[in-house]
Amino acid sequence: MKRNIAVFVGVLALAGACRESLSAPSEDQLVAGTAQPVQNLITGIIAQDRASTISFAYLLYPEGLARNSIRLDPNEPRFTSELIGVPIDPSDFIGGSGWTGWYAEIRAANQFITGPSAAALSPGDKAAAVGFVQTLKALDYIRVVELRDSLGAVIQGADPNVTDPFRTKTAVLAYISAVLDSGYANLTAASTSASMPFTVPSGYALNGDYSQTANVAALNRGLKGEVEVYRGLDHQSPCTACFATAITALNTALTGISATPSASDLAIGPYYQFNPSAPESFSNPFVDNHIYLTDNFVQSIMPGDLRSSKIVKAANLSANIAGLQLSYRDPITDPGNLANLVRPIPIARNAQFFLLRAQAEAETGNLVAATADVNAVHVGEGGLPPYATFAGVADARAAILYEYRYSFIYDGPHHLITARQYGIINKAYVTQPGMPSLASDPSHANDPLQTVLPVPANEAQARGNDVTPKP
Amino acid sequence: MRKLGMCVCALLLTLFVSAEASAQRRVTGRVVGADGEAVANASVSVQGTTIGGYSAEDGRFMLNNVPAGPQVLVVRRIGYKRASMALSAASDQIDVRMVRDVLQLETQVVTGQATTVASQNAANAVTVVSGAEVNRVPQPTVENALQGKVPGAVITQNGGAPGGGVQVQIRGSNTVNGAYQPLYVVDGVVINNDAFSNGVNAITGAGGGGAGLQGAQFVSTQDQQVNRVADLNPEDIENIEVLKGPSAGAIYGSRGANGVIVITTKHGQSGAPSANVLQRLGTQVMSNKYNFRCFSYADAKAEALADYQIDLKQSDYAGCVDEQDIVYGNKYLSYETGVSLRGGGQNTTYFASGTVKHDGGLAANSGYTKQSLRFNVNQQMGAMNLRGSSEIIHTLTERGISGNDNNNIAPYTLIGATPTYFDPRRIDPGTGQLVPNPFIGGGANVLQDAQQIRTPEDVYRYVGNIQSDWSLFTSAKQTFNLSALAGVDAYDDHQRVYSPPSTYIEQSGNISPYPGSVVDGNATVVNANLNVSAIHRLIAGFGTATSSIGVRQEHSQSNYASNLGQGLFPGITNYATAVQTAVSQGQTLTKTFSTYVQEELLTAGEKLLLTAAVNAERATTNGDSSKFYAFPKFSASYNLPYASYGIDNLKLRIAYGRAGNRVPTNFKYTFLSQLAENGIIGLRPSGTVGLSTVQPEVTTETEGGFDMAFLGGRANTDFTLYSKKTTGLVLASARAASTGFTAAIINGGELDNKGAEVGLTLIPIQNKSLTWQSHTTYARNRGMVVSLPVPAFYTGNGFGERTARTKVGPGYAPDEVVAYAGFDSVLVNGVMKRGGRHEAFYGSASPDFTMGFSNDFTVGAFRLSTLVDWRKGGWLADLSQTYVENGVNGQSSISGGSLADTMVNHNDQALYASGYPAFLEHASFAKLREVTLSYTLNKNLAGALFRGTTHEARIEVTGRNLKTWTKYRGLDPEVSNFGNAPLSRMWDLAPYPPSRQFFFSIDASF
Repeated sequence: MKRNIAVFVGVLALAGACRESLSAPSEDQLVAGTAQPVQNLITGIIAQDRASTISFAYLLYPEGLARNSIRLDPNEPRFTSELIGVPIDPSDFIGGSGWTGWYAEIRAANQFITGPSAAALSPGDKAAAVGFVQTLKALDYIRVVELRDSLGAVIQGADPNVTDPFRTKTAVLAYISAVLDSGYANLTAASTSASMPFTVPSGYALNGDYSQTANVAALNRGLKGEVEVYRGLDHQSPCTACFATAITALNTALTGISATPSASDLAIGPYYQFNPSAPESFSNPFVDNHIYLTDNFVQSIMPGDLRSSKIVKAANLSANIAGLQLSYRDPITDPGNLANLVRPIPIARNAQFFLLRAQAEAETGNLVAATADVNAVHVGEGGLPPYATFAGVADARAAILYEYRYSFIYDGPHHLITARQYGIINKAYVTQPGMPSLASDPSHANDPLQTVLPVPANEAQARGNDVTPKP
Repeated sequence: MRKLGMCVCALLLTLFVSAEASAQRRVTGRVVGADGEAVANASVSVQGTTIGGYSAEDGRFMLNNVPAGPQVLVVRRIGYKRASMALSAASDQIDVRMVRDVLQLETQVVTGQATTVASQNAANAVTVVSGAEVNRVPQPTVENALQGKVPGAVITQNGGAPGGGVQVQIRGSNTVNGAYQPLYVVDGVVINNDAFSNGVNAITGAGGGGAGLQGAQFVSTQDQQVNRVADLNPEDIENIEVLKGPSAGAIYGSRGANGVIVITTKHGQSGAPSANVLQRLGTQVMSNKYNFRCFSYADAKAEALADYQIDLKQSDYAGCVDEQDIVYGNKYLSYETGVSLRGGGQNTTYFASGTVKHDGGLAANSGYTKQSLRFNVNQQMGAMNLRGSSEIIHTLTERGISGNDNNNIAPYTLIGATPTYFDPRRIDPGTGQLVPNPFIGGGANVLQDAQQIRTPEDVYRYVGNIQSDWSLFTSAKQTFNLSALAGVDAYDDHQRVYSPPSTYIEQSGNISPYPGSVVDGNATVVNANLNVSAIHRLIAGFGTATSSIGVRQEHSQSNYASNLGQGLFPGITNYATAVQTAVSQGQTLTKTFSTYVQEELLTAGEKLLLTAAVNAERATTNGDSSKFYAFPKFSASYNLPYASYGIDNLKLRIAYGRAGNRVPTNFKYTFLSQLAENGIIGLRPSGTVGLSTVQPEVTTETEGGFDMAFLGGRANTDFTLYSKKTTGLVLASARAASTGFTAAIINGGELDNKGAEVGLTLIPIQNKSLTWQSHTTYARNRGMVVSLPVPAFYTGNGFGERTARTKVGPGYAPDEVVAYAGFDSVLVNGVMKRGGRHEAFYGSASPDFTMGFSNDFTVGAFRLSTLVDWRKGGWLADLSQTYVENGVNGQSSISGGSLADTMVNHNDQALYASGYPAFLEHASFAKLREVTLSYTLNKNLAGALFRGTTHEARIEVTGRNLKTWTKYRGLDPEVSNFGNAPLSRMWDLAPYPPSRQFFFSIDASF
C-alpha cells in the first residue's frame, strides 16, 4: 500500500513539474513593440510602399475607370464587370483594394518617427531618416486620396486603437501638405546628414541618387507641388492660392533640369524595382496576358507620337467577356519578354512634375509657361512638334490630359485624376454589344461611369458605416 | 487545484486501506446468442470488480482471480443487451445467453476520462455508431462513414475528389475564428486533424497565387485540403461515440466545445487465432454533369468566326464532344483488401490488421491509396492490465486540379470556355502531341493538363498508445484502480504539385513567364498526450459511487514549409533548380495541462445516475498561460420505475456542461511582418493586433430530453433539446484598416445555438422470414449572434457581396448570408453614374434541418440496407454556374441553332448585371447515401468455396451516393471551395465532380 500511495503522489507531482514548460512563444517571428534596427524598419516601410502601390488597384483599375485599358480574363470576369456597368462592390477585391496597404505603411511610418529606433540615431541622421519617412508617408496619403477623391480619407492618429474619423479630401490634402513641409524641413535642416543613414533599394539610384538627402528633398518638393495642384483643383474647396505654392515647390523639384528636357531628364526619379527570386519573390505584375488597351486609347493617339510604341497588335485577341473583345496591348505586358518581369516602375519622375507645373500655370493664366512645360513632355517623350502657345485654359487642359494619358499609362492614375479634376471624364467609351457610340450617347447612359473606388466595406463596417467626411 | 486533487485522493485512499484480501478462483464458460450461435468478443466481467475478459470466436471465455463467494457476471457486447448471471459460490463454469439489442440500449458510452456507463443510463444524447454501421459500405474516410448517421452533425465534403476533404460540425458553430470541428480521440490518443495546402494556387492563380509570387500566396486555405483524420482506417473501428457538446464533452476541457468523437479500435480475444479477410472491388462514375449545347457545323463555323475570328474547317469540326466525359469519364478500378487476425491466451490477447485500399477517382492522375498496419495487444499481469496499440498508415492522395482558377488550368474553367465542336483528344501531326485549344488563350488542352500535371500528397503516420489499468485494490464492495495512458500521433505530410514545362498552359505565360512549376511542401506534426487517472468505485446499498481524479498533458506541434519553383528544365522537378523561387513557412506549438475530478453515482436500483465533474486546464495559447480555466459539468438521468400504455421504459435526462475552445496559436502576439527588398529583410507591424490577455472561448450547454422504449421492445425514440451559449468569443475582429491594422484579437460577444434532435427506431416486422428495422433521425439547429463588442463584419472568404458573403452581426445567424440586391443609377452633371447598392439578408447558410432514414431488411441470408440523407435549407453561391454561362456554350454572339439553354443564361446574366445575386441558390438535397445488399453464404456453400476453413462468409454489393434529389443547378450541393473554415462554407467553384461508387465485396472469417 505504501508503494501505491507513493505512485499516486508521484502522479500528482507530475502536475507541478509541467508548469515551467508552458511559457515559450509558439512561433519564432519577432514580436512588435521592441526596438529594431533602423535599416529593417525603413526597409519595411519602403517594401510596404512598393507592395501597396505596385498593384492593379493603383496602376490598372484607374485605367479601366478612365476607359484606357481593361483586363479581360475569362476566369475572372470581375475585372470587367466591376469596372464597367455596375457600381464597384466595396466588399470585393477591386472595391476593397488600394487602401489597406498604404495605411499599414503609414502606421509603420508613424511608429518609426516616434519610436525608439529613430530616437537612438544621431540628430543629423534622425532628421534625414525622419524626413525620408515623412516623404514616403505623404506619398502614400496622396495615393489614398487619388483613388477615393471626394469620398475623403482618414488621417491616422497616434493611437492605433482609435478609429479616427473620415475627413474631407480638402482636409486630408492640407494635412499631406503639412507633412511634406515638415519632412522638407527635416531634410534641409542645417545639421541633416548628407546621405541617408540606411541603404536604399537599387531602384532609388536608377535615375538619380535618392540615398542623398538633397535629392529626397527635391522629391519632397515635387510631391508638395502635386498636392498643391490637387488642392487648387479641388471641386469641394478650390484653393486658388495653392497654384502659386505648387509652382514654387515644383521649381525646386526641377532645379537643374533643362526647360527642354531630354527623355532621360524626364525619367529622373526613384523607381520600384523587382526581383522574382526568394526571399523577395516580387516581379512586375503587369506581365499579364489579359491586359488590353481600349480601342478609344488606340485610336486617339496622334500620328507620329513615339509613345505609339506602347500600342501593338496582340498575337491573340483578348477573351470575349460579355461581348467586349480587344486586340491591342502594351508590349510591357508580354510574358514572352522576360525583361518585363523586372521592368522598373517610376514612383515619381520629372515628367509628372513638368505637367503638374503646367497645370498650375494654366490655371493661373500663365499659358506661355504652361505651353512650355507641356511641350517638355510632348516633345521630350512624344517626339512631336511643340505646341504653339495655348489659346486658352481649355486647350491647355486638353493637351495636359493627352500627355498624362500616353506618358503615364500603367504608371498611376494620373490621367484619371486629371480628367476628374477637369470634369471631362466622359470622353471615352467602352463599346459592348448593344451599346451606342459616345457620339450618340454623350451622357453615358449605356456606359455609366465610376470615377473613384468606393470606401472598402471592411473599413466602413468597422466604423459603423459612418464614412461621412468631416472638415 | 493540485491541493484539491490531493484532498480528494486522500479521501479515496481512506476508503480502502482497511479492506481485506479474498480467496480467488478461475471461471470458464461460453457466450451464445438467442439461437445458440457463438457470440465472440463479448466483454465478461465480475460485477463490482475490475476482473474481466473477452469471449473468443467460439464464444468461450475464461476469467482468473474471480473472488470467492457468490458473484454476478455481467456480459456486454455491442449489438446485444447486457446479460447478468448469478455465479454461485461453488460454481466455476457458466454459460450466458444474449439477446440482440437492436435499440442500442446497452451500448457503453463515455462519461469521463476513464469511466463509461450503459447507454440506458446515460444523461446525454450520445450517438454510438458501431463498426458494422461504419463499414456497411466502403467508406472513403471515417467522416464519410458518419454522414446521415449522427443527428446534429452536418458533414460536408469540399468536393468530389478522392481522399477526403470533409468537415464535421456538430450542433452548429460555436466560434467565428477558433476550432470548429470536434475533437477526435482514438483509443485515448488525441488525433491531429489539421489540413495543409498543397500549394496548387501556384498554378491556378487562385487567391492571387500566380501574381508575381508576391507574399508567397501560393499556400492558401481554399483549395482541396484534406483534414488528416481521413488517414484513419475505418475497418479497424470497433465503434464511434459522438459526444455532441459541452454537456457531454466538458471533461475534454478546452477542446470539448465542438463535441468529441471517441473512436475505439478492435481488440483481441482469447482463444484460437481467427482471421478475417475482406476483399472489395469496385469503381465510380460521375453522378452529375452539365449539359452543354451542341453546334451544327454551320453554327459552329459562324460561332468560331464571330467570337474567335477562326475560320473553322469542316475537318476541324468534331461534332459534339463532351469534355466532361473525356476528363472525368474514366471508370478506374477501386479496391480494398483487408486482413485481420485475432487471438490470444489466458493473459495475452492480440488483434492485428492490414489494409490496402485504393479509390480510383474519375480523372487521370487522381486517386487515393491507403496502406495501414495495426497491432493491438492486451497483457494481463496480475492486477495490472497493459494494453498497447500501434498503427502505421501511409496514404497517397492525388486530387488533381479543380476549384478556383485564374489561369485557365482547372478542367471546368476550360470545359466551360471550350465549344463542344473541339475535340481535345486530337493529335497534332506536326508535334505528335495533343492539339492546342484554339479557343482558349494560350491553347490550354484540358486532357493534356489532366495527363501531365501531378498532385501527390504522401502521408506517413504513426498512431500508438500504451495504457495500463492497475487494480490496486479489489473487494466485494470497492475497487481502486490506477489508469495511465501515453499516446502519440505523428505524421509527415509531403505535398507536391508538378506542372511540367511541356504543357501549353505552362508555355502560355498565364502561370508565370517561366514554363514549368513545382511546389514542394512538407508538414511534420506531433501530438502527444499523457493521461493518468485514479478511479475508486464503492458498491453499497445505495448504489455504486464512482470517483475519479486525474491529470492530462498534451503537446501539439506542427512545422510547415513549402517551396515554389517556376521555370524548370524538362524532366527536372527540383524546385531549387528553378529560375524563380518562393518559400512559405510556419510553425505552431501548443502545450496544455489539465486536471479533473469526477463523481458519479448510480443509485435507486440503477435507475438514477448523477454525475458531477470539473476539469481545470491551462494552455500556452492563452494570454496567461499559467492560469487554470475550470470547465464543470453536472448531469442526471432517471429511468422511471413504472411504465404503462405500451411503454417499456422511459428515461428522463438532463445535463449541463461547460467547455472551452482553445485559443488559436499566436493570437496573443502582435508580430512584425517581414518584407524583403533589395536583399534586405524589412519589418513592419503585421495586420493583426494580438491580445496579450486572450482567453479561451467558453461554451455552456444545457441539454435535456427523454429516451423511450415501447411496443414491447420494438420501438425506441429519443428526444433532445439543447441550448448552447458561447461567450468571450475570440474574434479577429475587423478593424478599420485606416488604423494600420485590419484586425484585432478581442474576447467578447455571445453566440447561441439552440436545437432539437429526434431519433426513432422501429422494428415494424420481425418474424422468421423477414425483419425490417428502421431508424430515422431529425436534427435542427438555430445559431444566433446575440451580441458583439464590435460592428458587424464579414467572416470567411468570398467573392464580394455582389455574389454573397457571410456576415457576423447581432441578431443574425453567425453565417448569415448577405448579398446586394440592386443599385442606384444617378445622373450627375449630365453623366450617368452608378450609385449605392442595397444589402439584403437571406438567412443562415446552414441547413434548416437534417434527417436520416436508415432501413434494414433481413430475409433469411439476405440483408438489404439503405440510408437516405436529407438536408433542407441553407445556401450556396453557385459560381460554377458562372463559368458555364460565361463560356461559349452558355453565351454566344450568334443566334439560332441549338440555343435552348441560353435564355436561362441570359436571364442570369441580366439579373447579375442588375446587381442581384443571380447565382445564390438554395442548397437543399436528399441523397441515397448508402445501399448494401448482402448474402451470408450457407455453410455448405461457404465450405465448398473455402474448403471448409471458414466460420462465416458473406458477399455484398454496395453503392454510395447513388442518387441525389435537388433543385440546385450545380453538380452537387454538398461542396465548398472554402470548406476549411468555421463559417462561410457556401462556395461552389468548379469542384472535382461528385461520383457514384459501386463495390462488390467478399468478407470471410477463418
